[in-house]
Amino acid sequence: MQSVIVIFIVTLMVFLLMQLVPGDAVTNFLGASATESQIEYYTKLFGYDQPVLVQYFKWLGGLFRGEMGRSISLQMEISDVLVQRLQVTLSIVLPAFVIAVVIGVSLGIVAAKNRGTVLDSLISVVANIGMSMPMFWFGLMLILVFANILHILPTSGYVYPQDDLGAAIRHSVLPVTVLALNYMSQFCRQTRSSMLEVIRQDYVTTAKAKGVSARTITFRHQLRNALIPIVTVMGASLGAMVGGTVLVESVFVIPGLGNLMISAIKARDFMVVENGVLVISVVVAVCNLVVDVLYGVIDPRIRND
Amino acid sequence: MSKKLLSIRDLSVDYNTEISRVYAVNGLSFDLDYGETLGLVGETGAGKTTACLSIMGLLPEGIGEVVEGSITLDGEDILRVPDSRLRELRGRTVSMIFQDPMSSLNPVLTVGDQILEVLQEHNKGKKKEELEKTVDNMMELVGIPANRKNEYPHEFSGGMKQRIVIAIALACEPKLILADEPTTALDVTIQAQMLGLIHELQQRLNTAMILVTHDLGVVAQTCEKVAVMYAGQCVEYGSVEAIFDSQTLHPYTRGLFNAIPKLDEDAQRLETIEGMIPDPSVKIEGCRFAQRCKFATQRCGQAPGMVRVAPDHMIRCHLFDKRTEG
Repeated sequence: MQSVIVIFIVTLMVFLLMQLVPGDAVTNFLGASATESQIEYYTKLFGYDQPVLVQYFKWLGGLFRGEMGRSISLQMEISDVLVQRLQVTLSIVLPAFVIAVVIGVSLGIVAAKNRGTVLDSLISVVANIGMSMPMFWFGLMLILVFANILHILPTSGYVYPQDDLGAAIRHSVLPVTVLALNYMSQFCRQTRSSMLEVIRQDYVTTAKAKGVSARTITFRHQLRNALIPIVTVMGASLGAMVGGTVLVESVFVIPGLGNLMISAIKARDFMVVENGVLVISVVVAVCNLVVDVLYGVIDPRIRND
Repeated sequence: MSKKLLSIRDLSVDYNTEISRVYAVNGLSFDLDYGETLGLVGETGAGKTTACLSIMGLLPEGIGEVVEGSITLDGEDILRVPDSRLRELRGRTVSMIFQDPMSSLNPVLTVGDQILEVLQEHNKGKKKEELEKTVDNMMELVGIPANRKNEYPHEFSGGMKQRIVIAIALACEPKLILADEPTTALDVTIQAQMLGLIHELQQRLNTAMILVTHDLGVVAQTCEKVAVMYAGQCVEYGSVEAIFDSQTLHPYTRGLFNAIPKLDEDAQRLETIEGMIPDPSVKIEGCRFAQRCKFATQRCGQAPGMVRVAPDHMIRCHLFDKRTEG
């Protein structure tokens, strides 16, 4: 329920803010040579002559019928465009997320288990670099090394997996790496600190006194109890990744949600922006919901409340 | 001499902290027979828990370190066996009941799973259903209905949690239980119940036990042997009868006895032992109790040895040592 209200407020705010931006989609689409009557005709056709709130509620009403409206600049149904672009974005975000989780959490555990050693410092350095390095710069460096110098990977572009799986994978390696590195570092740091909190708990000593293996102690007794803050960060990150791939998409020229939003803003195609924001906020809300459900699965004390 | 279950010789354990090196246990020696109960008494910081953790091989990694001595458990020198063997011994041959039941159970696992875990670890060949049955039995044995095994620790009271901890410790019927102040964190009314339970189960399973406690009354009730620890050393060791009935006592033990309130005396204040336990980060050459001892003399500057004052009674004090009398 809470998330529905949040989504409503976000879309309303974006809708109103877009009205403040100078320029409109119709003039942009028709170009400088358009006549007054043409502009008037299209403005009426898309309903842009009506009051702002009427437009907003018409759009909202359309959503309940499953209609997002038509894009002026793209001359396509917005829902079709968004679905297609979201798939592209997810095909980069999901692998990056999985890699970031697996490597980030593993490194975090290793660092916590070897606290104060050279290995721990090394992992911390890598994580700090990963977090502080700007994504676009790291992306450009990777392109320079792997595409321009070594010639083993394509510089940019996107291939749909259904067209050519091999080429699709080759094209995704660099963007996925760039996106994964940043989030991996966050997961690593969070895992390390919450593992350190549980690593000397009494129940860990109890488990050791039972004679169980080091692996069982790490995963069943320590990680399980350290998971709540880690999952929180993961949920927030997944939402942020979907909304924030724009940098990676620009650098690698990927036709995803982020690039769609940029071109829509340039064309003043507000309805595309509005619906794009809606999709992103729904993704974020779903991530939060999943995290909330996971809390209960992880910790029985939360389940009972 | 018959084979001992546990034999600790000259055990010294240090803790390396960032600030200083702490000498927690200094030359501790005692023996324990099969099925016997030893009360390990002493004030906070005497090294009782450290001694127990050394027996389990569970000194905090990278901090606690056995610097000297040997611990022989059931014929094996556990300071020299590999880690894998140590894991086999833990839970199966020796297990431990911890001080605080509130924190010694994993909050995210059901109590049944936590009992099952130790059984599975040490009965690799057996089927899960069979072991589940043992879990039920163990729960009933410690007085908790088996149908509560799918509940989580936070759904139990402190006393019941300690019962679960006891069930875990006894599940594999170990030869030795280390009970580290098992009742300290519990309500006074529950304490007697819990000690009764531990004692009863120990008798039934014929398990030896080291009971760490501050309470000499508890020792008199449940133990056969007593070891009094002071500043990382055993200062007095003997049978309960010998020590509780004797007038020949280490000055520190005497102090402990005097500090017990007596119902038949109309005392306004309890007697205390003057002073504090010495700073464990300072190495002491002579008698460790000398600073607080009323009977201290010149020769206490030299470390006293264990003196046998009766067949089953030994004291570490120059007062009873004929050789150093002067």
